[in-house]
Amino acid sequence: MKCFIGIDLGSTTTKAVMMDSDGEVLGRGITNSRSNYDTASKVSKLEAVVSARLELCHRALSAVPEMEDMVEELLTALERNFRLELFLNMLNDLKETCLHNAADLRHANIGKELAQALNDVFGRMETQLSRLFAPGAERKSDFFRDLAGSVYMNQAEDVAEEAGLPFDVLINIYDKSIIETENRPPAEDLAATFVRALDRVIDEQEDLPVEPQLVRDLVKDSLEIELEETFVVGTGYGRVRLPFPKEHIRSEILCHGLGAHLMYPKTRTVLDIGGQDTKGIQVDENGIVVNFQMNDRCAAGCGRYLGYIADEMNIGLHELGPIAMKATKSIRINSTCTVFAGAELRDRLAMGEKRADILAGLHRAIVLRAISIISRSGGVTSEFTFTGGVAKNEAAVKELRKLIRENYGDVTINIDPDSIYTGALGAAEFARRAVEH
Amino acid sequence: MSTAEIIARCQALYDDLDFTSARQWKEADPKRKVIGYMPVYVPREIIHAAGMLPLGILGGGDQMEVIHGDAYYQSYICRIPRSTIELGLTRKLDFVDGMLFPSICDVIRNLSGMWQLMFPGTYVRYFDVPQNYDDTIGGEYYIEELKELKSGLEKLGGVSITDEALRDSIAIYNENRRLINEVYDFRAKQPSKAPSVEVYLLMRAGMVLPVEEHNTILADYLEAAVDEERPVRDNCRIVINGAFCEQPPLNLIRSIEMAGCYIVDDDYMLINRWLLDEVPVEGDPITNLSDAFLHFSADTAAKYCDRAEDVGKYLLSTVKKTGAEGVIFTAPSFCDPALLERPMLQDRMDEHNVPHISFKYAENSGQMQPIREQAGTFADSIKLWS
Amino acid sequence: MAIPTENEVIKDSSMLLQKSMIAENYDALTSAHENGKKISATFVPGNLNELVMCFDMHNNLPEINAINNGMRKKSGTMVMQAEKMGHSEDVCTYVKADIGSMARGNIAPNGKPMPPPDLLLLSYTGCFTFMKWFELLRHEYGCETAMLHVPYEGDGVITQNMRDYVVKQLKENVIPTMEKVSGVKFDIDRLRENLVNSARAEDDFVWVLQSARNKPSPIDAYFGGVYYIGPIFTAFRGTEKAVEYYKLLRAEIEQRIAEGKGPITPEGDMKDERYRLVVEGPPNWTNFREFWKMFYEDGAVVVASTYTKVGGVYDLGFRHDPNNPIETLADYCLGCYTNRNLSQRVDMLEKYVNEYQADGLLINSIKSCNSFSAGQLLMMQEVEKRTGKPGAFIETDLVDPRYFSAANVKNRLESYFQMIEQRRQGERSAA
Repeated sequence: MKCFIGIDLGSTTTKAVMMDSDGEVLGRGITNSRSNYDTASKVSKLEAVVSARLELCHRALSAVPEMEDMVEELLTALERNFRLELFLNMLNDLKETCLHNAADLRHANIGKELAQALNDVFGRMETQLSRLFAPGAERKSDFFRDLAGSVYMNQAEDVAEEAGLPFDVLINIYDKSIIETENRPPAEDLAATFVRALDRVIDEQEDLPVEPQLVRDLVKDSLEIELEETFVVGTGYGRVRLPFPKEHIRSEILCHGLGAHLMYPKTRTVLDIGGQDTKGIQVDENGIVVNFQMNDRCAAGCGRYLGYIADEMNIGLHELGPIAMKATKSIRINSTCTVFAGAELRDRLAMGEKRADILAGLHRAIVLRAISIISRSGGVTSEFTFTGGVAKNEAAVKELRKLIRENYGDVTINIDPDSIYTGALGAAEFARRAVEH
Repeated sequence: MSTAEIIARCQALYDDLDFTSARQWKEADPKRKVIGYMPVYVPREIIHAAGMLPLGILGGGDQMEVIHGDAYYQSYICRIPRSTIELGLTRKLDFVDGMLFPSICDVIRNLSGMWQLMFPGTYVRYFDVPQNYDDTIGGEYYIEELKELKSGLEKLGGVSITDEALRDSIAIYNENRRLINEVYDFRAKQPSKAPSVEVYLLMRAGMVLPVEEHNTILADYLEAAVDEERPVRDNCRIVINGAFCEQPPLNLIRSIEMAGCYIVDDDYMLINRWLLDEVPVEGDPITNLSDAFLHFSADTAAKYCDRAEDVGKYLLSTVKKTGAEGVIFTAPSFCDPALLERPMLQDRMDEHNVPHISFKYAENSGQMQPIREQAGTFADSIKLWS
Repeated sequence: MAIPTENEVIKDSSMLLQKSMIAENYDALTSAHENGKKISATFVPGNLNELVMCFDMHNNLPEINAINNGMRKKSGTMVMQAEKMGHSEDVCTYVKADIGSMARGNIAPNGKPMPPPDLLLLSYTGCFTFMKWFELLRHEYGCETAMLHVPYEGDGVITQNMRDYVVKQLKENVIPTMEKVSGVKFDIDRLRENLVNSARAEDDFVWVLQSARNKPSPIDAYFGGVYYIGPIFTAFRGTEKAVEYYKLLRAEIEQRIAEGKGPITPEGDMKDERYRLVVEGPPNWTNFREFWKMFYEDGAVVVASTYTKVGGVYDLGFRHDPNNPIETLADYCLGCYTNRNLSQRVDMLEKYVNEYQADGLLINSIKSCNSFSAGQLLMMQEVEKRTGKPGAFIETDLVDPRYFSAANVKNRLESYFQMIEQRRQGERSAA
């Protein structure tokens, strides 16, 4: 079947959306952008293909009446096991790379001990990390780097101590290897991985209402549908680095405008807060951009600002919003300058202000900047859509709702849980239109 | 009245971004008009003589969130025009009938044009003072400018401004300047008795109150302050320079004093002390105002210094007069006049062995730790030297 | 303006002529004192070249030197040098490039040291920084300074009072100071002769600017415009050479129109005209070629710009008038672009978008230059509202390479061009 793919290369994450010729979304994929946009775009595309395959399986299995009550559960299990398989592949790759780098480094005198230590570390990692893919388990991140990194650190510390090896050597080996592993394009034999995952599912599942073979056949058929890469459009900060001809590249402004229009056709104003950029976009009834403004040279008020604050406070980016939600008052933070905000934050902490209250103030500060950019682009006159990574932050959303109401009255505010895909969705639609129109 | 009561009143005026007292003044009589003005100098006597209230607009301070004002300015432009626009757009100045934008720098100059475009109903004037101080050149030009301002206000208010009224206004403002200078002199002599935040708030009150009322407050404060016992700190004495437009947050002024520096002179709200001598009441009032401007006025970076040897002379004389031990150059970030002038002033201070430090602020600066540290170190070093 | 040459750059003969004029001028400046000549330094806006020539003085323009150093990638070190000397990172980089250059020996583009000025002709026209700039130079050089305060057109008009004030300063301060410094007696007929030349060159110059009304435009009125304003904005206005230059330039442009050619770019003729833009604000100089390329490689041509009006607004009718020699200098100064108020500037931009059939207004906002920059976002909004054409906003600096982010600028430009294209398609399908 014909497939149209949009890829949004952001400064933090790279997103892909796959669409069929009717404009229906087949799959979505996301990965961290790394330092290598090429790999990031391959990985995100692959992730989108995976989710498209699951979607196709979903369509096929849903057609069997007896399966009706089970489809969701089955597919969740299939995806979970598929992720596990994929993860174990990568973990194995990382292990091999580490072993290779350990042999290659200037540690000839402890070469054997290092290899033994790495085997120990990875053995423990596999056990520990596999649990993350057990039914109902929660993962803090879906990115390999995040999951593997922290566990490696812990295990390597223990193993190093037990074996009397220098911990920093193990760290160096890891740092070198993770980059190599991440930047190695993933093996693309998805079908085999899916089949192995399905085997695990069928083993786990005790009360299948149909013959296991029927499930196997349906999944197999879905896996065999050819997903033709009919047209790809790239967008986002890294788009110029894509090895794409010009007609395959669209600015993120256009893509975000169109993407938001596809999700909410009545949208007239779009705010996107990404890592490097904040954009205020005005679109018409067809999703055509009529005006836009971006933050000026100063990156204050972008997603990075929150990242910086998280680093300053030594907490995870995802923890910022929940902590800020616990605030009992909002401390006024005046510096939207990222560097000064750090100083102001320490000043406030020193004055005895509560962390939650300060964070609430910081969220307000970033949203204030965004509101200024919206104002610069022409304000909010009708339905409003908020997209980008920061749209997932509940504290930022709370402030935004408040400020939009204060400044522009009661307008409809759309925030889609998948809003991070807005740019890629617009890009996919541009790809579809390039062929279908 | 105690100083605390007086200052509490001034603080309330300072905090009130809705300018309630000026609104009430206006509401008392339907014929009344309010004329806003920005730093650094406008001849308030003419506004006063028209029966109007001159209202100093000094930005939004550190308690106002600026949203739409930011939409109009790039990150490399100072803060005062943003918050001033915000005041305008949030209708906090909707009772103001006219706005005067003195020729202080290109940002304020362009703000006059923005005001014309954004608030078409308002009387807006870019008030271009001469940078040539010859009576027959700059003087004649300025007299004409003053007359244009006068007739503009007459038209706006449907009144005629008589010479008599102008003379009365000059006399009242002479009294205001006398009292203000007295407060400054008092502080320079006994800085522990007149904390800088208090002096600052007293001066700010003069931006929003009718001058007659301000005169009363100043007199009351002087009377109360003399008798009040306050702890004396082992502080050094410094002069503040460069803060003549966008104003620092109160916390900054307080921090400097707490860190060990008594402020014995400053250039905050210089309009209060712009004309150095009493303006003669006899003779042609417009000519008198012009003469005072040309020959007996204070100095800032917004003014052209026509003789190289005079650069920094005013600051130096302030240092000498107040017995200051050093100068703190505090300029708002991105303030062209103050920051361009600063190296010349610093050289002049070096020539005369006047120690100095410098830092920047914004009207909404939040972090005071670096300021406290710098001012504290400066105070310590001055004590060690002397 | 002095554009450094690179071998592969394609040039018209007018450009070669300008190049030789500039080289000769730098030689005249660097050898002025050896030849018993005096040097007067002044600014592009409010440049009184006709008057300077009356005193046999050479005109040195520090802004142009800063631009030169910017284009030769030398300004970055100079700016930083000045900052090390205590000049704020917040202020104009022309000033800092000038002061930094002085600290590094003030070497002119011909490799010889630039002699110190004998007179600072402080024409305070349209930019506050000028005033402090020359106070700073006076502080360094300790030389004679003649101040000319040009009042701002706050209400969008030149009043008689403003004109009288400028005329009186010229007569009573500026001219006597120039006589004193140069030892040459002022001769008003000489001034008249120079003004005749000015007006002749101005006619052809305006013709060239307005040729951009053609489709395709035979000129780029911003990047190319920088070359076209060169002689008339600097030390050549009022000379025979400038008259000759503009005649030659005009003939070249006539030829281009006859051949249906687009503008010349460093890589030859621009092929396909896809976007017509009006640009407000000075260019960036440190990455001038890179910046220009972002336009022509996407088929964007600038059909009108305000930067080409900073040294005099001629296309609205003003000409230097030999019959009123002093008054005409006053009117010239009072009418320079940055001495006009925001309403006038918005009116001009609106007129350009309409008359030159532009797709929209692009603002290049310059960190150094508050005279231009403060208020530009409102101006953009106004022009958008009045013309119905979209605006775009980018930020760079004059000669501070730290403030030019190619990726950032390109991202915004591309988005803008694509938006124009998309809107066009939308309009077509709606029609």
